[in-house]
Amino acid sequence: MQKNRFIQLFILLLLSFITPVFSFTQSNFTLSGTVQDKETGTTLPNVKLQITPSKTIEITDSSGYFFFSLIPGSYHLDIKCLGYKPISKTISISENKNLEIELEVNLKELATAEIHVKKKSQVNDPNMGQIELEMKKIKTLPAFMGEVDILKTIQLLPGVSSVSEGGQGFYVRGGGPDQNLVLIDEVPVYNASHLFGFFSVFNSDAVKSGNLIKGGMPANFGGRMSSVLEIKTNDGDQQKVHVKGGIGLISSRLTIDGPINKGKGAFMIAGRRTYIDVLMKPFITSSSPFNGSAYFFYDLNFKANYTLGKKDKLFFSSYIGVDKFTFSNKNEGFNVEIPWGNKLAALRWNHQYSERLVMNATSYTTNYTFGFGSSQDVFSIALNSEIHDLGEKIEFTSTKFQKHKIKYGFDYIFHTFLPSSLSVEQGANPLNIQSPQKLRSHECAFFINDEYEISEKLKVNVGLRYSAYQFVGPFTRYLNNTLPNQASTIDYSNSKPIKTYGGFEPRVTARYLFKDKSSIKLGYAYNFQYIHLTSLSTLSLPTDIWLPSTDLAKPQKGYQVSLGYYKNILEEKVELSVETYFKGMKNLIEYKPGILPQDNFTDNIDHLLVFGTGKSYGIEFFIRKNAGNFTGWIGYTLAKTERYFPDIQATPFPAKYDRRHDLSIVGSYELNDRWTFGAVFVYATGNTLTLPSSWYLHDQNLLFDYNSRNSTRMSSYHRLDLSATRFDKATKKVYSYELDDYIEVKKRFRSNWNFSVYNVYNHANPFFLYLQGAGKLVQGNFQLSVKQVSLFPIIPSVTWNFNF
Amino acid sequence: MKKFHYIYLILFTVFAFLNACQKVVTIKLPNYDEKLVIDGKIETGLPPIIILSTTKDIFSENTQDAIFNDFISDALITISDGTITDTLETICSDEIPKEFQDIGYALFGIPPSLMSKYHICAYSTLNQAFFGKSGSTYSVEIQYKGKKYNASTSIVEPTYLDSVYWKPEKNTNEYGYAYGHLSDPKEKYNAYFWEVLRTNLDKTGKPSDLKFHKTGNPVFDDQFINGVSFDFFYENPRTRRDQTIAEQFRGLYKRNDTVIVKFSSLDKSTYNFLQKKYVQVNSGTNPFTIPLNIPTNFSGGALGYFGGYSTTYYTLICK
Repeated sequence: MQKNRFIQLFILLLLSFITPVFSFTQSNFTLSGTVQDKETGTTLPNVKLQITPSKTIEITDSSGYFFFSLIPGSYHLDIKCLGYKPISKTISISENKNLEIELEVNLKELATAEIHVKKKSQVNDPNMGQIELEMKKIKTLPAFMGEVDILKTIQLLPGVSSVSEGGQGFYVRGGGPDQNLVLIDEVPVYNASHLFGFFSVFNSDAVKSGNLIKGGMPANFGGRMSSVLEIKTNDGDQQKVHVKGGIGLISSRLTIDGPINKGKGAFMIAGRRTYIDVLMKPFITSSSPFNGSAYFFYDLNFKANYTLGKKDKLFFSSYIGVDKFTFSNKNEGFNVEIPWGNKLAALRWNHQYSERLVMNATSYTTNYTFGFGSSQDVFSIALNSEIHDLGEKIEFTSTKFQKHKIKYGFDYIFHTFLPSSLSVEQGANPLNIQSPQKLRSHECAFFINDEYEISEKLKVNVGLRYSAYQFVGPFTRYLNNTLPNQASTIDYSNSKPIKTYGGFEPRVTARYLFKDKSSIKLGYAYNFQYIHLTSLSTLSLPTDIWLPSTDLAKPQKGYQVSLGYYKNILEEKVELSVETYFKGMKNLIEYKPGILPQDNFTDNIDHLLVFGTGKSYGIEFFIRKNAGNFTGWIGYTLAKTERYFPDIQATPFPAKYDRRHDLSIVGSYELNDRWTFGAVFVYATGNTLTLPSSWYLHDQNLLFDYNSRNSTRMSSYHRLDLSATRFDKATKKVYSYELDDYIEVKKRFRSNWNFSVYNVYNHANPFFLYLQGAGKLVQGNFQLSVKQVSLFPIIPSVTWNFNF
Repeated sequence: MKKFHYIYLILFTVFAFLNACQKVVTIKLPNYDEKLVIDGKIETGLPPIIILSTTKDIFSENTQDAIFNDFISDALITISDGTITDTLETICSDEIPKEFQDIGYALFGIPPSLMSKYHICAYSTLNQAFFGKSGSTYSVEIQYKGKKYNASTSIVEPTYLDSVYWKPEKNTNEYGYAYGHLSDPKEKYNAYFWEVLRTNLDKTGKPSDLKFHKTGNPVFDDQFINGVSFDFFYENPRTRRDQTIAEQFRGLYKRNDTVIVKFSSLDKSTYNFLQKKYVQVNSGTNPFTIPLNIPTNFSGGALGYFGGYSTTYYTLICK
């Protein structure tokens, strides 16, 4: 009842913001438009536009779009973007106006722009816990093995952490890795990592920007509980063909972009492949245990856009990424192949109904597969798991009403999950395996979100999302949990509804601006998550299993309350923020104690699960310097994350990624046009893990007894990385016969060298711990010790990047 | 049956490939509570055997005295077949006559030279009513330090192997795995346990093995092979780490080895215990599995198991 009352109150609150706008007279007009690069036609996000005398500031969105709502009159518009020449215009408003603003590159500022990143001011923005990053900035920071990685940089932000160096995924404010909605051009990606998490799936040359929302998630996003990471890929140049790439120690990249029809459309194609397999081959001797093994990954991004008219634009994005590990022992005739990867494609239609109403309609497909195949002699085994989503999202952005920016629309996804399938053959004898069981479901949501400037000081972002989910057939429910002696089954026919869930997801953030250019924000978000991820390993691996909610596995539900204080100092060059949060989660899943991987193949997977709750709370401090030769940030998080699964342990226990302290210091210093230096220092409390509390003998075997989950903590993690990037000269002198003198012209071929050193002081950071015995019991010299395995010592790397 | 474990092998290999360094660290482990450990079994045609000990701290000092003086000999154990009840007696290592010390080695796992030095006791009975019979269920009750621990187990009807044979591997005529052919009965649940003992004499003139040994993963059930007639093979557990044998022949039986195969049928509970036990034996505390506590059929908070084995025996001459 209390929940219903809350929802009613919330709807009233929402309507109170929206209803008045219908009574506005049409004495206000909009000034909207796009900002783009004059030379390439590429739209420019994060461009600052300021209107005087009202001093209203707007920042262009990821499509370069902006809008103001103004009363009739004469205004002065200043447009500034570092790396481009500023523009000032006087504009008279007596009707709705749409502008196409073109900015010209400023060669003098070009080098600065390369390292500059402009974000929405945290002080003004009504959203909480939202951080934007641009690849240009990240490329000057130290890169692990020379591979620039936006995901690694995101893990340096407060509230965000990786499990460990080799950990798959990332964790936001105590949420699991499945609770992050990772989007490439609006399409969900289920596994954002290559090589067990050492690299992300994001090719640095293909990525334009990344936007992380870790706090109050706006209502137009859903389906995950912790965060949204939006990755936008480059659109391509509508005027000229460009080629860029890089040659690194373990991989190389090549990107080509250019016009499809000059001024009308553009394409971008980017590829990357590692060559660890080729480089290592000469060093692996025939006696080495690694003889016969090989690993590589590659990925390919393709994007195209085309302007159909003044009001319509089409975008097509796709990504294919494959990791493959192979092992072959010719002597024993033993072969193994483990491929895994993502495939996705999306078609987006952008339609401008008017200056005040824009629609984005996206249809997409996304797929993640993991496979394992092994054969020896007549014996062969194949394991597979797969996720396939077909989705549609239609979103309208309306600026029809003064001081309101309203987004509304709906989301639909058809999920098909194959948690695991197994086939085994021994010669002509296929073994008795359950036929692969796919789990299918519909997920949809309606949402409305209003960014409403109530007054100059008070701005709110209020939204409501209603999501619904239906688990459908065909599906076979085993009633006694195990094959082959199942007593009976229930068979659900194709599309037969089995279980339906749904509910309201209110989201609110409010910002109050103080006179001293500081602000305070309060946020609340309630989320449903209809999919789950569970693991049969202490580490996060690509073998982790995704599964949808079923009649037994209920959807995850979570809420987050956050409060923050933000202030800009030193002429807005430095941003300070403090955010504190509390997050509650329920219907989390884990495997039952004692479940083994093969149990997945002979039972409904949800019979193997236990359910629990979680909570996390913390405080995050963030200081960021955005301008000047020296830029960077310091982020510190003090946090606690717990899980409670009564079927695992009678008392709550720390989550495996519970970290009390997390500190990141990131700096980039531009010495001159040619040299930029970067440094990253990280410190984090060690992760938890479960080690036994005692040992015993049974039938002359040494066995272990575990009495509490995640009660051992590894030593703290800390590391310093350094980098230096040397740019070539941006211009060259050529002789002008017209002027009869040498003049500076922009060079078409540009290159830079990035030198990075990872883990400069060679600290042995813990990857995992295990117990090792030495000696023999009967000889009385047996001893157990705890061994720490570390992955990466000091690793220098060099990468040559070019573009023309 | 061992092929399923290649999954772990591969995952571990990948990480081992990247593994740069290891070092011993000092770390605080969870609090340790001493628990009773019960190692009990009853096989077809043999008396029940139960050995009692306790759990030990991970970092405890493990001298011979500390280990072998830790076995328990002052418990009271009774066994029942549902009709009659008997109290088990102790058979202790220091009481075993010299000529039977080889049997003592099979029972306690300590060298004959140490047999008389320590008082390690097994609980058993010579009452033939409690010699294992297929189709019977046995219950035990252990009283120790004022606490009672109860468990029961069944000896199921045996499933026999159709045949056992040996076949040399590719590129050699001298070494190969031991094979079995099994026709799994479709109508009931079946689980199996494979043990081996080589009886051929070694270079010193003694039998190669003094007790039955288990392979790396000696237990399987009909989860995947229900009603299937098929061949399977097992390695030689005694030579897997034998440095005197060329690497490619380790884990194989040599031509002319004589092997006694003990092939036992199990009930589901005993299978669950053994399956998880050998998963832990093979994986240790590596992080590629989730921490696994081995189930017990004892009430009262003890660890260990009292299991029934429906045994069948086969002689395999490797040629």
